[in-house]
Amino acid sequence: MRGASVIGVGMIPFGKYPDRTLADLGWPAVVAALKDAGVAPGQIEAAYCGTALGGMMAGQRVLGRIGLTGIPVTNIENACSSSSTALRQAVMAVRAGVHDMVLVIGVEKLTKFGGGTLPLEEEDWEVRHGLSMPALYAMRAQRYMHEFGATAADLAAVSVKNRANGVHNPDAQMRSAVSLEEVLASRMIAEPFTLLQCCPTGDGAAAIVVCADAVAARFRSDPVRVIASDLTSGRFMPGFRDMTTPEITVRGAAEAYEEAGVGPGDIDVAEIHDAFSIAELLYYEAFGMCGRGEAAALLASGATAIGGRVAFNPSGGLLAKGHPVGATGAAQVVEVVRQLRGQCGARQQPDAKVGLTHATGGGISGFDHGACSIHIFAR
Amino acid sequence: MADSTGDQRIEGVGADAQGQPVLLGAACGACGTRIFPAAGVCPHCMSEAMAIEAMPRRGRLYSFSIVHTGPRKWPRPMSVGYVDLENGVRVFSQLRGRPRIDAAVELGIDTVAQGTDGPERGFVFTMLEG
Repeated sequence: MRGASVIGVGMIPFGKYPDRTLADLGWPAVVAALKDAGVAPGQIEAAYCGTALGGMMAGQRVLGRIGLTGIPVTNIENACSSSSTALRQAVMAVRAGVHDMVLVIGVEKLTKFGGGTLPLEEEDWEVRHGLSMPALYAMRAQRYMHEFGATAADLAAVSVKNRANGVHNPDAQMRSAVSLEEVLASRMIAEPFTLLQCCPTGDGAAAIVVCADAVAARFRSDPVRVIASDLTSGRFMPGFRDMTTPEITVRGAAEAYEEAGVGPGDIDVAEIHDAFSIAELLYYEAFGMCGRGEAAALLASGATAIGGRVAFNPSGGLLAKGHPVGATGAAQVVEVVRQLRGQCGARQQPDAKVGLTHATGGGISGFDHGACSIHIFAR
Repeated sequence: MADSTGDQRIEGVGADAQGQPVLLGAACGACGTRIFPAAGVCPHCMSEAMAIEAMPRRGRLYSFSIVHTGPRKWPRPMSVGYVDLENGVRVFSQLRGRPRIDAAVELGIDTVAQGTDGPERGFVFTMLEG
């Protein structure tokens, strides 16, 4: 099977752009990615656009702005995994030999909803009975604290780390550091989460140029190879499910590690789905970085900070960079590619060779999560 | 608290022989899987031999949160949680009483939201002492 490589990445700083259309959020990210790759628009053979709430024909609306039209455009909705799912479609097309050079877009405009929690599908039973994303993650946190003795400060420490990382990321929505005391003293959202333990709402776009390994060297001397491209869906469970271990990510991680031929000890840098503080702790365990119940100690040891054994969310993660849901997966890839190229300045994980991205989401009844897409990259 | 469902029909709720509210789920005639809310097809084996079944009125609180944000119709703060019923079915619900993980809970009916047409009644689970 042919391999696929990333030769170009681009994004706009995540933030609030209420006066810009989705199309005008998206095209600058595409232009940045094409320039980064040294690829002309006419060389792009197909595009895959992920957006959760952007509406119909998001890809065509973005690409119409820059004349990149008349090619196959596939629009993909998979909640928080939308643009990472789009990347998987792109990688599969390149691996299968259908295309040599394709574009991935992630784009989202959440300010159109006027703030507040992410609007969920009203047909869903639990949503109709008051479930929101903060409540769902909060119940995970409460049970985890109950079973493993984690404290409010253990959770808040995730926000402190990721906000400190975001200070050095010009694309992050939140660029100021916060103290443990500030995190704990911020407004209560869903117990045990205070405001600073919840990712901010906002807008954003990111883009990726993917090509066949064989042609990558024509464009860049430092292509980043895609060594795993995994997508799975949650298992529907009408009864008990263990909310302290995300089954969808556990399965996805095992699949991705197997595909890549690497294990947790090989990962140097990871952008994972820290929508709320508890999530990063659960994912340390789900990805095998530590044992069950050991996540808070792992964080406290510094192993997941920049310069540690495996830097988690050097971009600032969702907690600092922001979480325009459909754009998140692609933006994680932007960060990991830049990390593997050594372009990240003050937030650079030293000598990063293998990186991982993980976007999972979809708050619907009976599932831990609806979707989970994991990619592993190597230079 | 555990009164009858009253005049306003509550989706997913019926009454037992004593007039107590019960959640109406479904059981699969082929594989025995039980679900709430009821559905016409089994999520485990795809059988359509689903029969409406009253769920046990008691269970244990698996986890909870007290939520201070969200759409305007819901109370703030709002206590919510997952209840594991005695037959193993998990139900998301508003809670009454001070929530404690693993506490025994019982089904009741209460005002759960302020809709555009006034208060909305719904099912809740109340903490039992001990």
